Amino acid sequence: MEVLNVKNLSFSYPDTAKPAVNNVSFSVSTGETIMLMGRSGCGKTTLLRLLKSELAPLGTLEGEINVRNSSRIGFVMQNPDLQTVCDDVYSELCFGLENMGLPSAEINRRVGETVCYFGIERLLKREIHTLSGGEKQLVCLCAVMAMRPDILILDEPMSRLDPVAAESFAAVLARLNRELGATVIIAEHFCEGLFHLCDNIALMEDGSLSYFGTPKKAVFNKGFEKFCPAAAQLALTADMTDDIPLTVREGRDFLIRNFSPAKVDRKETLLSDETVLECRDLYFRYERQSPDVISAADFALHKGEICTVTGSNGAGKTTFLKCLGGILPAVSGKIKVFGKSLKSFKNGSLHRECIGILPQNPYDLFVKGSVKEDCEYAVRAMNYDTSDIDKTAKALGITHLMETHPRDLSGGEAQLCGLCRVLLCKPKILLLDEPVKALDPYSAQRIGEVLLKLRDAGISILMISHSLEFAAEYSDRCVMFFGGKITGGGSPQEFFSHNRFFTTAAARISQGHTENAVTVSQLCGALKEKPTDEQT
Amino acid sequence: MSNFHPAAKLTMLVCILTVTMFSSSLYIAIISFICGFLALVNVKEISSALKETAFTLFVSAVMSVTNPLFSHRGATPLLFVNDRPYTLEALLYGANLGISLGAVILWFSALNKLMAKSELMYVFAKRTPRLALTVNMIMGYIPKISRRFSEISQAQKGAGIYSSAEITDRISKGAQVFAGAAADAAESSAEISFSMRARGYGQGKRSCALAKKFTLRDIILTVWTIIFTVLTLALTAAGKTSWIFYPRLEIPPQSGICACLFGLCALSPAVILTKERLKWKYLTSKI
Repeated sequence: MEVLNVKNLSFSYPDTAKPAVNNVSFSVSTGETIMLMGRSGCGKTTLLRLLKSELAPLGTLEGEINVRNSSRIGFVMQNPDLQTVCDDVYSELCFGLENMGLPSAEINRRVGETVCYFGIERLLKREIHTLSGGEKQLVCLCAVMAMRPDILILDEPMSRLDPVAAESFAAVLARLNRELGATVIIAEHFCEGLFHLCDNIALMEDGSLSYFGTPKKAVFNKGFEKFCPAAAQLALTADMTDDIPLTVREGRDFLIRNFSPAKVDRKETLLSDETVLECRDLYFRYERQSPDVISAADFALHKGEICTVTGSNGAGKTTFLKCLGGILPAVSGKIKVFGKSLKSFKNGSLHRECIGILPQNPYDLFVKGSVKEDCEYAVRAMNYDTSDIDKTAKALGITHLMETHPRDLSGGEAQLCGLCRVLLCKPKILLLDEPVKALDPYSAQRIGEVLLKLRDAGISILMISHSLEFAAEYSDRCVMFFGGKITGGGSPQEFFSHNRFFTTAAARISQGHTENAVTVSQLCGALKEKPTDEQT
Repeated sequence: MSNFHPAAKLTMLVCILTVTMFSSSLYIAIISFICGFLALVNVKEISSALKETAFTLFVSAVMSVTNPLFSHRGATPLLFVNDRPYTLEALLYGANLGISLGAVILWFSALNKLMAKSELMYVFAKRTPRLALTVNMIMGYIPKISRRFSEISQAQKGAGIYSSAEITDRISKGAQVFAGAAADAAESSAEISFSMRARGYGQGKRSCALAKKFTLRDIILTVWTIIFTVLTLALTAAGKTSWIFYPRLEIPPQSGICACLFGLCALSPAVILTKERLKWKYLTSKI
């Protein structure tokens, strides 16, 4: 039964010539799951918001949106911080039900059963700002589900979650759909674990729907390869498209059926002996009585390497980065920058010419009306030459963005502009906090290429990343932050091929079959050479 | 006192605070201070309750000692400072002011522990759900700005701002960051209002999730506090309570009795809490 029908929908924002949504038509039936995919800024969020009239942006709308009468729509937004209203979890869960004017007993019963279903009893009394990103997003979903929507719309709900939390969030969605028959429309870049479960995949390009149909056929769209699950990318590259595998398990079967075991040569990157940033026995806690966030951490960043720190949400990675960067004071332990103690850098000389930090939220770097104004303000504050701005902007390819208001930048653009702003400090060490957070694979690739260039220019880079595919592709070394310290470092191949849970989809597919293949390109590269007899 | 109805608790605390703030009797101030202290000891760790009391006592002492330095009214000079009289009346006036203030601080501190924020909201949400939510969000706005301020200033520090050691420079940059944080908080408020509307806010009559029954014990507590408060206020209106400090100290003969009446009301939280504590001891001792 059809619950939602969109016919020839077009929408443009005021004062813009190009429509943000252009002649889109599709329909959704009860109990279906639809995944909306496309590059950042292609109009996914606008389309989703138009579906819920209360969230619809201002502008000119043409076409029709028909929701079957009395169908309630629940909406989970991208940023959990911008959709929580109350202070504590319980009040937040009650908020929507109170608005419906339900009696107290009914509210408590609904909240009670929803909390049990999602298993978040332990969070009920917590204050929301103390929760980790994954927990916040789960609370938001829970608050919407307690209102019993007929259609659930989610706008990139997993973009801020660590890989393991993202997988379990995807599992919750799958369970909602399977057990409760919820109709789900989700926009997301992260597709492992959800892609194969969808009834339809909708691909958006520049505001219009370029494809709407089953996942098995969706993978054949040009310019969409990187959005596909690793297994599908593998089959596409191998040009065996009879039965496209979509999950890790299907991918493994595909691999075993069609190829003989192989081995990828381990690419050993020679790390320089020179360490540029080093910490020993580092401890940090936020309050005197609170538990240690960082305890006995030892770490060294070598000259000219890209090192990635992975770990779960709320493990303390960001805190660790801030401690190393001299933003938060360590309780005890030694931090050395180029062999000199951190404390010997006086008057902010540490952050001029030495360490540049790109914060998790790059918008925090901008306090003025345009990117250029902010850069000029910063350059003047540091007594540098303003000609540096144009040079850096040109190198990063963002000259056209310099006059834009920082708030109007898309996620990927903000990361690049933030990087430009940090590079103005002429750092020799870059600390990046999730530089590809919430970016589509193509924008992430662009950031990755910039990082490689910077590394070749002699800058040592330490970054935090939740995107394991990105880490495997672009780092020289990966480490894990766990239990307040850095553990288990190694080259991406070594790191991901030894991990079972915290690893890339390609590594899961190849485990036990093709040694040391942790990215799709590595796996494909190894396989092309050795097809089995049946195949040839 | 978690088993009492929030409205009953709030009525009691408001009554006590009203009398403490609006009476000018040193007796009442002292009794309120002592009762506040007794309530506080029951709801907080002894050490932190003592610390807080010591601090408020210090503030009261400073107020009473310094008041005569600024106010030279009163007919009984004790000594002369810079050729100006330091009078007994001004000293007592300062003491009254200081101790009343100290008592109010102690009671507010106890109120924080006696009533959870959600309980406080409940009392208002029943009558004016929208106002309650608005007040709640405004209260949340301030810590939000301060969190954003520290995030943005850390980001700026990590990117080379705050590089000079000059104070004026730092202040001007701090102001810039503060403007950024405020703009950001305003912007996120707009987004939150979208989220509120999407979840049905403002589309009908709002209800309240918490439900508590007003039981016999709440009625007794409320009637008890109201009787004594009304009595004290009536006597005050009749001029039987208030001390007259200037020009010469005059204490109405009934002032002491009035203070005792108020004491019966102000002591009730401490009595209830002590009873609960003893009951707990008794119950655990039987295990």
